Amino acid sequence: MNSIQGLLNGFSNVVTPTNLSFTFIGCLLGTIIGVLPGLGPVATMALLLPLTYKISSPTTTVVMMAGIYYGAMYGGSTTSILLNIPGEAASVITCIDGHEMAKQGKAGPALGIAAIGSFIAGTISVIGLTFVAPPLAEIALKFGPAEYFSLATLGLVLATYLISGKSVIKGFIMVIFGLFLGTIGLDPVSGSMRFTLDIPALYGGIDFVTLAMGFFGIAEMLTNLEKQESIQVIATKIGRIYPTLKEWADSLMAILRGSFVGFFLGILPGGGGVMASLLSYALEKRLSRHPERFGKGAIEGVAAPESANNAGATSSFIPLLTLGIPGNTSIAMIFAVLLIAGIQPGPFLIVEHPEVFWSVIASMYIGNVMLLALNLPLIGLWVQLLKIPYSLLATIISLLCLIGVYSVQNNIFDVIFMIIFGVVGYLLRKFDFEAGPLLLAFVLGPICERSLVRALMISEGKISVFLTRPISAVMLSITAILVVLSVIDSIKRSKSQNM
Amino acid sequence: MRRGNFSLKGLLGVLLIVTLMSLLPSESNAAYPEKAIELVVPNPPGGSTDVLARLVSKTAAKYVPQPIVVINKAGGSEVIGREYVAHAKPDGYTLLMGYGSGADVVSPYNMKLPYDPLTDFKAICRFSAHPYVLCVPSSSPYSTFEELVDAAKKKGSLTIASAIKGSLSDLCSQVLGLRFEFKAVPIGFSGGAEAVTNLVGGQTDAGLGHPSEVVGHIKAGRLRPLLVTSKERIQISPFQGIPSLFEKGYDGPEFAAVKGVGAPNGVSDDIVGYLEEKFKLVSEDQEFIDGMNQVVQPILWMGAKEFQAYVADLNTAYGKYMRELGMAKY
Amino acid sequence: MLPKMKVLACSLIALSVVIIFHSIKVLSLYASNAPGPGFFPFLLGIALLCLSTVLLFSASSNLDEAPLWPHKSWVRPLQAVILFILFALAFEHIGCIATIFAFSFIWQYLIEHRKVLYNIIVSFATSIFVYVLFVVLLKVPFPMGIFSR
Repeated sequence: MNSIQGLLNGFSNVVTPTNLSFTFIGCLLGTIIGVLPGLGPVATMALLLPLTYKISSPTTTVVMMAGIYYGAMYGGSTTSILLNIPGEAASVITCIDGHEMAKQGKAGPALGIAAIGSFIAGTISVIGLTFVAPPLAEIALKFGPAEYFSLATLGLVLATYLISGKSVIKGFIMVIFGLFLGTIGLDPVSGSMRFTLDIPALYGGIDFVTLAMGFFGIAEMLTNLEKQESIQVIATKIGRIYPTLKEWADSLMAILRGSFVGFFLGILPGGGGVMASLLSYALEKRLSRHPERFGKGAIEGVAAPESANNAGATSSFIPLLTLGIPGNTSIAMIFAVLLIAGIQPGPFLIVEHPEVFWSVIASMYIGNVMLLALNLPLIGLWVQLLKIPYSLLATIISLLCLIGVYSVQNNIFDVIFMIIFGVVGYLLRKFDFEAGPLLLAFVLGPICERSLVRALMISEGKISVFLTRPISAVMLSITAILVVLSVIDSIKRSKSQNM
Repeated sequence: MRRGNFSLKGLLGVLLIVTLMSLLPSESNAAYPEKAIELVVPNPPGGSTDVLARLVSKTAAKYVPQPIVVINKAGGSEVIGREYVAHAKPDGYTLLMGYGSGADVVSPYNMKLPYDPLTDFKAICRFSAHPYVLCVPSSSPYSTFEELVDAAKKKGSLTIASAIKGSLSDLCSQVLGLRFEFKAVPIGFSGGAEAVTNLVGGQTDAGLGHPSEVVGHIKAGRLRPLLVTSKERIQISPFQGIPSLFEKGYDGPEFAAVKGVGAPNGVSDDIVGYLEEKFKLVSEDQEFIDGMNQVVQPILWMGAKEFQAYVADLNTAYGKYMRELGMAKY
Repeated sequence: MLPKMKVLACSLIALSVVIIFHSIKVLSLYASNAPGPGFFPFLLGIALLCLSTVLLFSASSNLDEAPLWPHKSWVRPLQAVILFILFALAFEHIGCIATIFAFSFIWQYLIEHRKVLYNIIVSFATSIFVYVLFVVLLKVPFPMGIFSR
């Protein structure tokens, strides 16, 4: 059975009232939890699992779960743009230009481009998945600790490149601080507990959501409360709901490039999502004729990472469907769902259960359309919600943060840590320290360090391993080139300042 | 200043009201169970313990009049969930799934725990125990365990993809090296899934994984199984032909991630007996058996008294190995 | 009044020293073929030390600079933080609905200075909304506290 035939079969399977409704339910739920800070797709899938026992067809269950997963991706951009709260690591980049646009009254176009970009990226990604999945999965397998180290190092260099504030020193300090926070907890490679002060809640390390909601959500809230009266923070003069033709044209290339970057990086298990949005953003900034616009509300700065995000979410299914390897916790949950239904994900999935395989892929095409149809009208709703008096909005946002963080692990310590991070972030803001680089370093640091140590343990101490392995060598060369270019840039800049 | 005083008074006032509201009378002592029972899983959703808990909860609905609700309290290397159960009221409404795992028999030796895994818990029953399967990637030239050990001795060391350093799978790798006299280098990944992924990619010489984690890859021909670490061979396909560790002359505790149910110590014997009886019915239920087969988890029932002693013995035996290998900190 | 940036820089220097010491004494820097658990934190500590020192010397020593909190603007943020902490402490004991109601009520009353009637309606609506959304629709297991059966 070739791909086209399989796909058509899949479509005929999915376009039934039951499967369509469940895909829709999944997309709707995914969008809701994506918008709500804290609660993630994994927790929701787990909570819905008992209800799915009554459903006879595993296809139906899986298309709903998949809908929740990429629906959450669509919804996450809403919180990033409107509230400057990143739902997960990959959304941090969207906050940078997205929230700036919202503050300038352009929340509508930002959300619009995010939705449309996600749709285009998702569709491109599914087409890629349909036709080139198996060979790509093989390449993903070649990524061992050495490659992940080089990738994470590239990511860290890009993260420092994003420091947009005036003081580079402060930006670097935040990167170091983020790297440090990433070391807290049990190190899986050496088995030692680091910096936990014997508090069990820290044994597993700090959770990203806690950190993000503290440094972004709570800190921002506290900053806004300094004014005697609560005034509207996000510009009420919402000019337009939909992007202009010019904004469209500007974003198109960003969307296409972001889609490809996201598609390829999303295949890598663990860390693909962050790298995808980071790389696509940095790429756009590099290729742009006016890079200084980035960080101040450039629409490409929203289009690229959102497209990369969504493309990556779809392509992260590839290792699962072709090799039986889950790339992140949400996919691992879908893996468990399939297993409980008696289906073994892996290379034989397409042979033993072709209807499941192709139905899931077909449902992604349809899901993307549904999500676009869901999210575009919602933009109008969000814009109206912003008109709620900030005095009330602040309470609701605080509540959502507090409950959201709790819902991740049902652990009250997470809430307390979030408050602590909120206060620290608030104080640091007053000194002009920005939180973005900290969060990125927090995510990339552990990948970088653990991969370094593992690679050296496997190669028995030979440092050359990073250059003798081709993929790793390529990435390290790119990193080196970037560093040299940045140094040249800053020398040029300081020379022109001195003149 | 006046506003400051006012706000403090206001806060205290509301606090008082709210505290008074919480002093409502607690539940009466009617027949157990008369409300939902919490089954705490100290791992994130989707993992093997979580899947088992959900299967139990689904099947138990036939035998227990109240629902058994699965609650994930992940974090702190399975410590948070256990701490929650250890300090919960011993009224039988809070149970732990996964009792007897590495967190109870290995972690006490290298982590400072806010509870005692042996005395703060009452064992109810054991549902399952997942042994490890030692595999090599299909690109490896070795097809038996003996060939692998010989090669390890010649090469000088053997990299074994394992879960977190200091965990049960890490201990297992090192004990293999100790007992069969080769240098085992366990590479600590963040979990079994990550370890298996890297093994499939050929990043290490060998690796340890649970049957449910490696079965798909074995069937696809990407991994070659050489050994299982349980006393008996695994009877589920495709593991039937694989020799057990104990056939190679090993004598000691078996290595398996034990999945049992525990309750906070102090829970009454009546409740223990009730749960033990009901869970035994679950373990013999055909629907449950089918479900467990589908997720490749063996059913290995053990009753309360036997299980309590079993966990204590494992703890002692592993402790001895930990000290011999220099892995123990406490 | 010390210059604020210098105070911050000094605290960062202190932190970096703590990290460096912990890395060397408690964690090992080297472990068979590869860096040990203390290696990376050690590097971070050194980097932080250097950067904070640069920060210390580049910060202005001007003592007349603007205060961090003009016009006592620290009042409302502090009230919010106290409320957050109380929320966290009360959540698992009196349950989600009661805590949300109390939080919302106190916030609107103290921080926003709204009338009591408005507060009660808004807080009630908020708690019901959260309950329906999270507990009923998404089935998140929140502690019900005083409302548990």
